[in-house]
Amino acid sequence: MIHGRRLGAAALVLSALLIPALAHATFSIVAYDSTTQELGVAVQSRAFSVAEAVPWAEAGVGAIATQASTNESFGPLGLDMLRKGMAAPDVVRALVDSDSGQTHRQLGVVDVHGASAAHTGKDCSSWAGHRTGYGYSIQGNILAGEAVVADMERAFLNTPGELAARLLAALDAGQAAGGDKRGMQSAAILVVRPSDEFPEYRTRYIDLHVEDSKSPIQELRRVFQIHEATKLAEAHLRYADAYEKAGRKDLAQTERTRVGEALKRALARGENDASNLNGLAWTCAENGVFLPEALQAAERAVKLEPKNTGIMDTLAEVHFKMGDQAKAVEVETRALALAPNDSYLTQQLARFRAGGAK
Amino acid sequence: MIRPRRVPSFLAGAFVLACAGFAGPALAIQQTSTFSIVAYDSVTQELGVAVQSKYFSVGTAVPWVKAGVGAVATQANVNVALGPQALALLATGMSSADVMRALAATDTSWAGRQVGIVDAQGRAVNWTGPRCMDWAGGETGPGFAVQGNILAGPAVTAGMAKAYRETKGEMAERLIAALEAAQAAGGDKRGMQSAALMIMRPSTTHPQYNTRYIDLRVEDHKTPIKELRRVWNIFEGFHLANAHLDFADEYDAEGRHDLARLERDRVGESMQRALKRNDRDVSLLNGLAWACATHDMFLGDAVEAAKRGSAIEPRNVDVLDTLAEAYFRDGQAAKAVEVEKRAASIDTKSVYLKQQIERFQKGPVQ
Repeated sequence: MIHGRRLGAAALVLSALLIPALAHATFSIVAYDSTTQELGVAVQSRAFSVAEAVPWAEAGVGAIATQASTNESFGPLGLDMLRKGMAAPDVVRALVDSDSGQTHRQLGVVDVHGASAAHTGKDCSSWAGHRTGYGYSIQGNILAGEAVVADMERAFLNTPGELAARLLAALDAGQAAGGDKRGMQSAAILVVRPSDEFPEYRTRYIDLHVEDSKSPIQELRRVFQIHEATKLAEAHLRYADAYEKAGRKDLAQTERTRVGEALKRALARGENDASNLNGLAWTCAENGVFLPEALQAAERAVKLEPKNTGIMDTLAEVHFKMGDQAKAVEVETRALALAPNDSYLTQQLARFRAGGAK
Repeated sequence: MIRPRRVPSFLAGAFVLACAGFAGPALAIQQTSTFSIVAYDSVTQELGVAVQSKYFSVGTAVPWVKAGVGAVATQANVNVALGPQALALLATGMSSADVMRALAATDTSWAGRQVGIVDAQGRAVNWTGPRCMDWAGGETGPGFAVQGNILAGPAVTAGMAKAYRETKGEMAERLIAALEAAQAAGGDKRGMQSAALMIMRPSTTHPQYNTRYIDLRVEDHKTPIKELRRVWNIFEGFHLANAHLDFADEYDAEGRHDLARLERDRVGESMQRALKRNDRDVSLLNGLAWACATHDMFLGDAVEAAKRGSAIEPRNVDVLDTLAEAYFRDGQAAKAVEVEKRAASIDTKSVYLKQQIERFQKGPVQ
């Protein structure tokens, strides 16, 4: 019989002689941010590669988490319904009504108007339940108790900043409240966002998997921190440019602030990853934002990797952008001494010496 | 400048600009040093991409696949948008070669790009821009294209093509074999960081396979291909075994019994691979043995897998039940009863186990 740690118990009830549906003892959150139009799902499970089954999201359409004795087809079918303009509660009703295994299913849906709805089948293993509110739905099964979803909700509502940070805070809170009774194995975060210029963000704005790990939420946070220092920082600046072009300076400012927030978070947690610090500092320097924090980050990164000429170049760039031409020249000269043949560093030094021409 | 181990890209961007004689501040251009394969299987209609890179989370940037449409890898000085754009063009019915021409006509930095495309008729093409960093190149074959940049040499992509051609069985195995061959041939000059395997497959009964048949990631790891192989081995024992049986049912319902048979064989092949590599993951052995036993196939291997699982966890009632079921299906009812009684002596309250014993004692009534 299959009752292993990876294939779950709930399905056994269905039939002992069939391959059971993959079971996801899971807690998850689906959410919508009306300002940025991000839609996202974050999930943790005592099942292998939860990203494969539970989270579904499409920009301008909606976000879905399908779990417990998982009916994965709820994901694509639900997105089809949302795409046609059905509201989240109607989608949940339609999916559940169509499914003979409905009492074993758990489902959470949020649409692009922020409407949300959930279903927890009566045969989901205890504790199982959900909480919904404007712009979010939180659901879980085989949990330590109701506190898991209650604490996830509180964390989501009380965490400021971007959607991904709020989703991850909810996962942390769910785990801290006891999480999944059977432990942890995989986690995922999926956030999508409309973009005219960068179509990839519509399906993959943030899309990180932890497939099989002893501490998946911790690992998810670790990879998210790399992501936010690199690709996400770049994405924010792309959105800032797009908003500027559209005359939405307020929203452009929010995007740039996000990069600064990421930088501040990195400094606050005492980030020891030189490349993360360097990535954020460089992005801020290039765009002339959060320069004091960028300086702190670059100095810290140089301390961690004193012979890394790329990081020294970042520090020099920050100095230069802050108007400290002398220090920029001094640091870049030191970098060039380490790599005398580097044509890029030579050009940078000449630029700093010339001054002014930022 | 950004030149850390995680965003080497930006350095390469600076390099490109420096070569081009720009004197201004470096722009953030993402240069992924990467090798990848895009492929189409005409029997199963799978479309897939496998990729490795010295780049964080390559799975979110390089591979783009849509069932019934095509598979795309966009890399080098990567323009991620080429992925969804190419899929949108392929979806209109354009061939891979026409799509490549269309991308070339609109992309302003085409000389720095590397792209591989295969369409849903198996026509494969690739492009390596003259500005891609050495060694850069690739080749195409029937139903596949391999391409890479900043590689140890041409042996890397040649090795990939050879491994893909010569590996038998399902596409995922063949794609991973290609990655492993690339790495064995020197791989990415700058080392390794992430890998991904993405395969889509059309299904009328299970729409999730259209967008997510196999989607495995290694985001940030010292040995990403090895880790990808590890998670793949878990995946094929669980999700994929289910998927194969779903497709077998779908094909049977359509009267395509030859294809249904092939799907069931895949599950058996997964189990044989698990036995061959001496897998010690009890739940995997148990899962595969259970799948085969309950579908009356590969029963000898199912008995062996369940035995091994049971040797590792002798008091695991579920594994004993699987072993008993496998014995029973294999015509060894006496052994089935004996094993199930052992299980029942561990879990004395189980109604299910008692029912199983009664069933085994009655003998085969299929």
